Amino acid sequence: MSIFVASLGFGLVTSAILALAALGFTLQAGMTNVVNLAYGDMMTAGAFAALVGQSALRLSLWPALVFGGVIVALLSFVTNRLVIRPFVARGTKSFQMIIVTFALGIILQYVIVMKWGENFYAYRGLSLSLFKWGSFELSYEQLTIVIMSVLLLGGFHVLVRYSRMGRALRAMADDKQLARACGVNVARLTDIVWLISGALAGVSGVALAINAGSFNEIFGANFMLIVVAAAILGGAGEPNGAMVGAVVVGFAMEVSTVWIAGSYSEVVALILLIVAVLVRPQGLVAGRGKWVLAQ
Amino acid sequence: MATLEAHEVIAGYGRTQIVHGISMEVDSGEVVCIVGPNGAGKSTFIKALAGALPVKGGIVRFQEIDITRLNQEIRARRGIGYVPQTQDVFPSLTTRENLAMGAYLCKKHELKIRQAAVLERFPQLKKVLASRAGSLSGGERKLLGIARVLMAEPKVLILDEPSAGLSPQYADIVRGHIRNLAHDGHTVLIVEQHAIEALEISDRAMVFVAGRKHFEGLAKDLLESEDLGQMFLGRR
Amino acid sequence: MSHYLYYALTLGVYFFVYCLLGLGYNLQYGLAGINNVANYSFVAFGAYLAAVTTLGPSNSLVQSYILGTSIAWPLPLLVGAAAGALTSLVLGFIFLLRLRHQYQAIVTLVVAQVIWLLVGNNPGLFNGYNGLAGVPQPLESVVNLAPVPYEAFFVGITALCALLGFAFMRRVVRSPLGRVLRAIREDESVASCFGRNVFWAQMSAFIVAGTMAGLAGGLLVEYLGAWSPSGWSPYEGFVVIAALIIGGTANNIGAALGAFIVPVAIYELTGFIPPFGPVNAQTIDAFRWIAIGIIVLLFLWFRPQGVLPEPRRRFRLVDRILVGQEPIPGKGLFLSQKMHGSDATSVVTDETK
Ligand SMILES: Nc1ncnc2c1ncn2[C@@H]1O[C@H](COP(=O)(O)OP(=O)(O)O)[C@@H](O)[C@H]1O
Ligand SMILES: [Mg+2]
Repeated sequence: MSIFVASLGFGLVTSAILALAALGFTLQAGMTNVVNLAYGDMMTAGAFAALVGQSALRLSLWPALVFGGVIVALLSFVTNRLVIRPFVARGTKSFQMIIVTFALGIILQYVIVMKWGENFYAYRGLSLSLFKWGSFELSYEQLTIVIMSVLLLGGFHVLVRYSRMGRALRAMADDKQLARACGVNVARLTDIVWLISGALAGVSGVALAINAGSFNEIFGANFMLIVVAAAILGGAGEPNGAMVGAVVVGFAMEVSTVWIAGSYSEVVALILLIVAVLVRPQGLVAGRGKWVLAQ
Repeated sequence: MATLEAHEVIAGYGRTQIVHGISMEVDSGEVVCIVGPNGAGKSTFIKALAGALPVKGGIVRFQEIDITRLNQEIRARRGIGYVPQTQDVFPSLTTRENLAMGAYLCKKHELKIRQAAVLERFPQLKKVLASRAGSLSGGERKLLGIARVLMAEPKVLILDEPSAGLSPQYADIVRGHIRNLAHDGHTVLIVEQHAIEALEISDRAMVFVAGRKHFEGLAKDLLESEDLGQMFLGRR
Repeated sequence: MSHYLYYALTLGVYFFVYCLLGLGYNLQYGLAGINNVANYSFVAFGAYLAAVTTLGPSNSLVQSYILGTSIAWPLPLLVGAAAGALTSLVLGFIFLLRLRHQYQAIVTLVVAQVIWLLVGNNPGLFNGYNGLAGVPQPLESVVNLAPVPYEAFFVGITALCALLGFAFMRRVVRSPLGRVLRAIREDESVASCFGRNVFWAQMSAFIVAGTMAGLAGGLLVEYLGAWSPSGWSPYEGFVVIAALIIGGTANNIGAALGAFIVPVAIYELTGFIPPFGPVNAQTIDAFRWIAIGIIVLLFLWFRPQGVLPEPRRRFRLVDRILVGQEPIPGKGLFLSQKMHGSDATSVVTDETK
């Protein structure tokens, strides 16, 4: 029983991180119709940026996390402007776009290797104390991550549901052309989408690194397919779906460790995705699934 | 004064040229109707006017200003209201949100005033304000599409086959609205397949065939003209 | 001297193996338009199966694996090819039945990862993450050659396989199947309208590609003598994709050229760069991946059709009849005539940016 409760705790943290990451992924994919296979490497970049923040700028843990988010937001923005947007504007086919992002991810990953090698790193200033409630226990960092995630997701939800920009974002996801006809500056909103998506990649990358205790050049890429699983499971391109998908995947991964070996938890997530794609391609939160259907 | 003016406009898709140099003018307060057979390039032409397609040649002027090179969102901001033939609403947004998108560039209090005015004009939309536009009936969607554009208080309204695919009753309702709009002094450029009904509410008319303009004149002349009527309006 | 010769021959082996892979990938992506990002799982299955049918019964003290037998060469290669074919058949039902475009690409990636994890986590299957080792080279004792001549001999084997693959692909490209596949790639809705079974056409291409990948895997494991999960990942698959994009999509000679440029010239030759100053083996490795990534981007931007573009093939009357379509007078080639609704805003979107 207590193992089960403990796994719920881990599930909570995993879901929280996953939700942030999946939200960034699905937001950008849904709005721009580009599946970004460099997303995992952008998470890695966030983790290393925070490391730089700690070592070069002497930041403590949480400011370093923010720093990681800001750096990756800028990275994502620049990537869009320099590479993605020109390719999209010229009408590059979706598979070639996937290869473009795949190549970007590889470049990013090996730039990190050039600087940091293939070694493991960890942050300074991790407290070792635990928050306990029965057999439910989390470290204070994990607890902070969960709270941060809830706040960010809530904030995002409010932004998208009730603000003028959020309305325009949803309108743009529906129909870019018509959004233009309404006077929406689609190019600028797309920039903002890449900024937000990058910020979420960076923040979730740092959070993942904090949760795992250490990280290397490939840990984000290894996590990416789980992020994709959560995004698609929830309903591709649906921000709310990403959160639902993240909770399902996160808990499934951690709770499954009660019965089967922990090394299989990723398999659990991925099989959930495959089954979902075959059985209910529209996702749990019935979205329009725009980004996966469009050519 | 010409509100919207096209001079030898060329447009098409990719390398295929569809519209081979068409000129026209829409004056302030006027209702101009474009008729012509299917595939004549009517939609292509007005897409080029609205900025939904790049203008490959010629000049488009709006209120005496050259807008040929301006993109669609800028044209929309300047006051060109364009209702496409299909995909004229945001299906996952509610009716209210669709209207708000129409007045995307307005302040909040202004939005309230305009929404009230537009709902006054389209009372049918009042009861579906909270529904997703995707769940509306075809007629309601079309009204919403027009209403959304009116929210921006455009200086010219471009409608692509507003009554196509609607039930006869709704087609009548839509035409009634257009007549009212004309009556209230709106400038309207309208493309119609059901030419006779459309011509009845228009001041002037043009006939497009295969990407070229074959007739231009008063709407009532076209209605009365024997041979043109036979050729393009399916009348005998 | 023999040192360099030996290495040149090694490159020859890689070249021909990647030719096979490129040709197979060309069939499924270039011709059939299947968006498979994870073509390497089929190589892995071919390699594992060829290995276990060479190694003999498993001795769990050394390494444990299933299906351990020892059959005469070249049967293990055929087993490897068959493994690739069978895997394709099974996975084809997941990939090809309902999935399209980006969904398809992602699911291939995901399935490959699942396979990778399952193989790695189940030591009973193919010795887990440690992988299989000690696979003897084919006919070693029979031909009884010194290293360099043996290497040449092996190059001969791979060249033969690649040539067979090449000849076969030439036929496929010109066959009715090839035409149907191109038709599907150009416009699936049109092709399926005319009653061709899109699924089975793509499936045949997929299986042929899988067979070639399995064969390539068999050759690789016989050459390397070992195979483990660390040796195959989406990144290895990316090399094959990069080769095809650079060499020329939907062009068999382009596939061979790509196999020379990417895996041989960029990937293997850079292994010769000696470490100097701050540059160690790791930075060289990083460098070549970055180089491959950048070159792929440059090609996709400046020459998306690759060095050698797809040969132009006219759609003659035969082709139209094959797809069940009567020629429309004055309408030109039906494949270029997309079916438009009265309003095709979606097609317009990208143009107006
Ligand atoms: N998105 C598109 N891409 C390519 N050709 C198109 C597209 N939309 C329309 N066409 C072609 O342009 C021609 C004119 O179409 P359109 O302007 O819609 O005619 P109309 O509105 O007068 O019926 C038709 O032959 C049609 O096939
Ligand atoms: Mg039309």
